[in-house]
Parts: sequence; structure tokens; C-alpha cells
Amino acid sequence: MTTTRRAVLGLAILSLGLVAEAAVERATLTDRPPLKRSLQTIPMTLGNWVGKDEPVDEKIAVESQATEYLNRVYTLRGRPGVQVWLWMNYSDRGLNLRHSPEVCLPSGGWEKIESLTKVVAIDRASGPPQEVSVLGYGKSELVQKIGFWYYIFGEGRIERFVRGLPISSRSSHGRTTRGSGLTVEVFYPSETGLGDDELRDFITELLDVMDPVLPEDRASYHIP
Amino acid sequence: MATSTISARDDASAPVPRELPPLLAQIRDGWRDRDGRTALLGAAACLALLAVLFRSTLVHFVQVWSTDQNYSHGFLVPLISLYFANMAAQYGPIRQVPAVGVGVVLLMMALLGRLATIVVPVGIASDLSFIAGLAGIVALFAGREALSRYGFALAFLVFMVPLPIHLYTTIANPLQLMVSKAASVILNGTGLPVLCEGNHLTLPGGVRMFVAEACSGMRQLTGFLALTTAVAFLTPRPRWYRLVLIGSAIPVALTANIARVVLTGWIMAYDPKLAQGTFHTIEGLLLMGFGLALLRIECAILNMIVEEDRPASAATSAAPAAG
Repeated sequence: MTTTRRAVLGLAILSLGLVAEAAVERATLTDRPPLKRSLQTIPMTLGNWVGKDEPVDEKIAVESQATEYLNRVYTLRGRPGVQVWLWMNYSDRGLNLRHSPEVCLPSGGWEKIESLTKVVAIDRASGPPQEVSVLGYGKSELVQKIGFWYYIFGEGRIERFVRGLPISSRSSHGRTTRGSGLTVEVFYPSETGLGDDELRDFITELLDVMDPVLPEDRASYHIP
Repeated sequence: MATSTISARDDASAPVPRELPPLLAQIRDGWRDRDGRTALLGAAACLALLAVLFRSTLVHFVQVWSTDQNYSHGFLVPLISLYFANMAAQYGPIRQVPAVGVGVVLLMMALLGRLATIVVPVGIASDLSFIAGLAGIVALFAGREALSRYGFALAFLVFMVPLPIHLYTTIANPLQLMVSKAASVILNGTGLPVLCEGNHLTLPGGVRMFVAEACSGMRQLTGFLALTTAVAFLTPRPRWYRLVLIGSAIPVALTANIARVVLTGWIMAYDPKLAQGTFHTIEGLLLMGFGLALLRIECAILNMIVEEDRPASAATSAAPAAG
């Protein structure tokens, strides 16, 4: 085969690849499900926790690639010092999944404290327990913990199965999804005196009020 | 191993023309005839299309290399691969042995891998498919002999591919436990009583120490695997020697990390503040050096074995040992 023909063959195969890529993208297009309700409908009062919206720096809002976000401080009634910062971030294209605490906190100078890192299962009144990664980060004398989990909406059963395999990237490690995504981060500085029991209590209350907001076709993950 | 040499010139006063690196020289020689030009332009166009097709993979590579310390060496891997390709080019011109079939098969495999990752989220399939695509272009335009000659340089690119986080954790966790157990045995044996509970070590006075995932040896393992593979390729030694060298990456990485944890244990027993921040980072670098020293010692021992096995006649014409 002449060199010219080989070049034409190579270019034809790769061009076909680009066409096939566009076709497969179109054929497997998902609706990228929207939230059923705005995140703002999450109540200000969650059991014994009372919330207050916090403004978000313009730059952080842009960086987060969120379609919609919620940034609140919840205080435990009767214990003003005990507070959690709730950051929820929805992206209709799943771009927010890139921004896990493991990527964003170190870039702010926080170092992971692996001895504080664990996975906790939050029991639910209905349905399976919700697994949450509890991560610890320190900067000089400051230590904060983060409860982290995320959802992917609209990926479908096959993708969900594959995402659970050890060969796939289950994390928000730079891979986007064909669906939409929501990340939930519950921050609490260690000096607030918040223990695991209070954290479980807050997340349990939060999960109950999140149900009406989230699309039905959803899968939950917790590995950052 | 062949080496490129600049022929000595009788006229010492005349400036010696600077030779191009062998790989560039080969490209330049190829450009001189019409057929070679067509091949080079075709290959360049195919490379550009491949890059467009795998744009999300390339973006992913850069993002992981810049944000994940386990893969910060990723930026170096393509450069080292180019160095190997340049070394391979020293062997002179390549005989054109057509491999259109092989090239087409490799390109089709690359396409299928790319398309599969659109349907299901298996990023590593796309990552490896990109390398298959590069090999396909080499086979299509330069032939079977070129694919064989540059095969190692292409295969070395595997070291730039990030493992899926789940798989990484699956490998790192048992290593972490192994390092913790071994370090606690050594600490107890060297007179520092330690209680080992999983990855938590409790030192005298209730000082708690945690063997982090970063201390599992996994980070060094990826680096040492790439390093030993490179050294094995560069060393003009028997196959068994090279295999032993590559296989030793695992015990060397683990030994270096066990030593690191033991050293940290002793430092923490003396002053816990010295086992944090900059001190801990310096300690990590020192132990990396210790790992490299272990590899050097291993090479020296293997070289002695090779020298003993070598007949006297062959010894005189052997290339100098590397590593």
C-alpha cells in the first residue's frame, strides 16, 4: 500500500472515530435531570438545628461550576457554639463533581489528617443507610472535619453498576458524568465541640428533607 | 548498546557541525524524499485527530498530574518516553516492513476504547486506548520494525496513566497495614514499646501515630516501578537481571516506607512536633534517597553475579554497566 493510501486510511479511521463519538454521545444523551425543587426549599429548621444563609464569594461561586448552590450555617438549639456549615452544590452537567474536598482543600493550604478519616453509615427510617466520608483537614493549629457524599442523577443502571467496579473511577476525580450531580459537604471545626452523634443527627435530619428535592433516578457515592 | 558518535575531524580549527538528536535526524532524513514527507505529514495529521478524539483524556491527565501527588511524575513520563525513543533511533534507519493490518487494528481498538468510555464510566479504558492509538499510528506509517523498536518508549507511557481511585485504594490499604505491622515489630524489637491497632501505633506516653495512605509505599511504588523499568531498559544485562530489577520495586518501596515509619516512631517518641510539616517532608525525601540507595546496592550485587557468570572473553568486550 502506498504512503498516500496509508495516510488516507489513517485519517479516515480517525475521522470516522470523531463522527462515531458524536453519534454515541447523541445516542446516549441523558436528560441530565434537574432538581425537583430548588435547594432554597431546604428548611431553615432541621430538628434542633436552626439555619442561616451565608453569602458566597463571587469567585468561589464561579469556581464551583454550580448551577445552584446552598451555603448555610446551622446552629444547635441551646448550644450556640455548636455549628455546622452546609455547602450543597448542584450542577446540571455534573461539573461540580470535580470539586471534592480532597482537591479543593489542599489547594487552600489544608492538609489531610488521615487518622481523622473514616466512613460512617447514617441509618435512615426508610431505605438503606447513607454512607458518608468523614474527612479531617488541618492548617497550623486549626482542624476541621467534613462529612462528604454526592449523588449522580440520570446515569442509568449499567453505568451505576460499572461505577461500582474497582476498574472505574468512582470518585469525582476529574471525570464528569453524562448525568447531573449534587455534592453535599458538612463542615465543622473540631473546636465547636461537635461529636459524631450530633453530626449523625444533623445528617439524618438533612437527608429527610432532601428527598423531595432530589430526582428519583439517583445513585449515591461517598468516596471523594 | 549502540551509541551515536561524531566522527573525528582532522581539521581541528573548523567548527564541528552540531548533530541533531538521532530521533530528529531520522525525521529530517525522512523529510528529504517525497514519500517520507507524505508519511510524516500523514502521521502528524493523524496525531492531531487522535488528540482531538482523546481531548477529554488529555485534559484528565493534566488535571490529575497537577492535583494528585501520587501522579505528579506524570509530566515527566512523556519526556522520558521521548528520551527512550531518541535512544532507539540511534540504531540507524528503520527498514520499512509494512504493518497496515496491525496499525488499523490498533487504531480501531483505540476508537472502541474511547467510545466505550462515553457509554460507561471506565476512564482507564480511554487512557490506555490513547496509547494504543499512538502505537497504531507508528505501525501504520513507520511499519512493523519501527513499532518493535519504539515499542518500549510507547509502553513506558503506561506509567502516566492514573489508576482508578478505587483500585488504588484496594492496593494501598493492605500495603498500609503491612507497613504498620512490620514497623511496630521493628520498633518493639529496637526497644520502643508500641501497640499496633490497624494503622494506629500507640507509643509510650499515649502518643498516637497514624500510618497514612501516603506512607503505604504505593506512592514510591509507582515511582520505583517506572524507575526500575527505565534502568532495566537502559542496562545492557541479561533478561533475568532486568526482571529481578523490576520485581524488586515492590520490596524496595515497602522497605523504604517501613524504615520511614520506624524513624518517625523514634522521632515522635523524642518530640512529636518533629514528625510534622516540613520535618516530615524532609524525612520523606531522605527515605526516598534510602530507597534509591537500596536499588543501587541491588544493582551492584547483581552486577557482581553477572561478572562471575560472564566468560573471560566476553568480559573484555562488554559495555560498561549501568545502574
